Amino acid sequence: MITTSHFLVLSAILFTTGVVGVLVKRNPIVIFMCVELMLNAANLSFIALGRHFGQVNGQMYVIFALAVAAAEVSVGLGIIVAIFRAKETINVDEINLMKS
Amino acid sequence: MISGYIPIAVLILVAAILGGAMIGLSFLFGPHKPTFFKSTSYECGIDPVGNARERFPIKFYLVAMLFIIFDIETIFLWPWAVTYGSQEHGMKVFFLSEMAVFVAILFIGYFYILGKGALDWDESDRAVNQDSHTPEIKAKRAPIRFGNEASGVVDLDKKPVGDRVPTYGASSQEEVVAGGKR
Amino acid sequence: MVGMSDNLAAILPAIIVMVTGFIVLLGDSCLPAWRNNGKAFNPAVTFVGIAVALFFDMTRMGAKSATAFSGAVVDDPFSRISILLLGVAAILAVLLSTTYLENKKLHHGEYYVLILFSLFGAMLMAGSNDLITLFVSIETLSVALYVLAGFARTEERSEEAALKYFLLGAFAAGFLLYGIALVYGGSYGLSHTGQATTNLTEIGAGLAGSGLGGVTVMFGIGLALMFVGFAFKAALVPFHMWTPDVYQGSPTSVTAYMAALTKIAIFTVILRILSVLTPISSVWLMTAQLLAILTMFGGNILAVTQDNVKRMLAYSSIAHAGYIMAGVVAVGAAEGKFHDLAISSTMFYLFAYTLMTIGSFGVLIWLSRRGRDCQTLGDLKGLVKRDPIGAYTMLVFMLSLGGIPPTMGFMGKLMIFNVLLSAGLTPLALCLGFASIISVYYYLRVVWMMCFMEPDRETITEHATESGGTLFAIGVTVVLSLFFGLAPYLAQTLLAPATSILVR
Repeated sequence: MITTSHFLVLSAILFTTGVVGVLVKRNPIVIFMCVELMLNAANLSFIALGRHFGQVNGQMYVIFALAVAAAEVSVGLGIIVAIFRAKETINVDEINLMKS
Repeated sequence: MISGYIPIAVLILVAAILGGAMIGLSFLFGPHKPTFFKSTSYECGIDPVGNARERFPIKFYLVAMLFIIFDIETIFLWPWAVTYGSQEHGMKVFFLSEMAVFVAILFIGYFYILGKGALDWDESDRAVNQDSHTPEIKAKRAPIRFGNEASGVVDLDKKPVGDRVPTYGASSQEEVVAGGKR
Repeated sequence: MVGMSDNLAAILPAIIVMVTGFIVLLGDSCLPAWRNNGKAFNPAVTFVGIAVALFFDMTRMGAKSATAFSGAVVDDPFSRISILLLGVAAILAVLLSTTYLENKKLHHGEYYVLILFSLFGAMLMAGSNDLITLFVSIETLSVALYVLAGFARTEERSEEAALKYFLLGAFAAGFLLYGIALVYGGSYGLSHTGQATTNLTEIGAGLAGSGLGGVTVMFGIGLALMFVGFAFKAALVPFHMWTPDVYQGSPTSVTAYMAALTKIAIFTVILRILSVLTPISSVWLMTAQLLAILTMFGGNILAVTQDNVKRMLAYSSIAHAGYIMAGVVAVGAAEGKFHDLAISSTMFYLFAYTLMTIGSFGVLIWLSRRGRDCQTLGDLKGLVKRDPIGAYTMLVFMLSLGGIPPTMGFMGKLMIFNVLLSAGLTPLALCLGFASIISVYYYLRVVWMMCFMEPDRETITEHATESGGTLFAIGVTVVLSLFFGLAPYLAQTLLAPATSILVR
């Protein structure tokens, strides 16, 4: 039997994976995919909790979060394309013009 | 309940072992004498030319971004449509006006990208006043060609490779390889 | 629909700003006549739009507090004051931008559109009373600012700033959203209605009823994750690492704008949420104090070694976030009369910070009007001979940032120091004092460079463009900083309505 807590544990695992990925990875596109993983972990929690409480709120919030994530994807891809045109690389280790 | 799946699991296991053993053993014990003709692709299309990790035009990214935005907005239409039918008359007018506002905002974005020319695939005759499109700069810049008009005609002897105009799309492979890197 | 007009009236300033953004967007992209005169039209329309929004905001200043959109948005004096500060920051930024953008050949209409959209997000943040409204409005602000940070498309530094801001901002958004999800789950047992909710009023009522006993593990972790997200956006140490790079790399006009706007908006939100959490203040007060102390010292110590003025100001903005955070702690700890005093002092400091930051970046913009970006300390050498206006205004802002009388920065610090003492937080007050003493060193170093050093090169090439808007904006900030530095209680009286946060 799959209960709400299973979903919550899964979402916690997904969230942790996303956080670790952001900290470890060096390609901004992969980093951004990890951020998406974090956002979707939250979405999963919302849906599971909303279903658990018998409320429609949870699913509603997910729609908002998805729209926000889509806007972020567009802007992020645009920035990555722009930085590639300027520097011919997108490796975050090589993007360090400004150091104190 | 789980026990019903055991035979299937056993079948999958046996199949994996059998298949793995046949390929693995022949790989281990069979003779390896590759010759040139053995290594060529045989009746499987043409030899690959150039790198598969080709850069492709930035426009595809632009279209992808625009698609994401407008695609996601449609998920707001779905719950609206589901709840719309069950409303009484007064609420229906309100619902409709809400959706009208939403779609109007989407259309503002649409007109913006239309006005900016983001949807003009062929930008050669685009004369909106952006800095890179002033007549002087346009005159200096060679026109971007889109594929077929130049396919096959590789005038490598006319210009050094570095100066060649990049062509986009499905023109000849050599041309893309020669001019693809700025 | 009955009641819809009330709902819309509650967010009228934000709607005006948004519609102005649409008008500029469409006008600049679709109308050739507009586009050809964009250099005049875009800033003018933006200015008028924000001014109208502020006008409506001020006419509503005395109106009764109310919630709108089923409690998702709140319209109380606190949010109105905050919107006022946000609007002032945006107007000053627009005035500063025009000539700078022209010099950098960045004069696109999108700049003003993005300023308006980010202002819209910030205004909605100030009034949001539901965590989801909050999330959406924070992201509206942030996404617009990511693009603004990378607005100088051909400059590698600008793009780098945008990428860093974007990646860390999105990371913070992940924490924020996951925190909200957990708070949503944890709020189930809290409220009397027996419903899970993200509405701040209901969470506040539930917490007031249950006290610490009603706080589940899930709720606690959710709150902690949310505050990690907030700390990222507010650049509190140890979540500050993006700030110097982003502030240095972005075009200076954008830096001025975002330094002021994000701080006002995020601290409004933090104040509102912490006032909801007052019943369980024993849990978070210690952490908030620690954050404040770390931020004050971290920002100031890191700023000492900087040779780039923009980067130094970035670290100094981190330190100022620490001072504001100290004010927030005082709000949480103080009771009765002092509670209101703490809120108005914090708002006063936010106002002072807005003026000082926009002013000091504004002077850098003013000095960049010869076409070359003025960024390093070397560029400021001997300024008092080359450009007396720039030098003397910079002097005022440096004194104000360092907390030296007779400026607004001094008064703000004094007020926060006082409320900390009256709230019984003597250690924090002493930390504030020590941190300010460190900061005086690097502010006065700028003054030293300007007044007592000889200019390096032949930097006195006189083909400076006319820059009336910039000069006007700097003048306004200087006059206000000095005026409210001398008459602080006038400002505090003006900001006094902010003490009635509806949710309490």
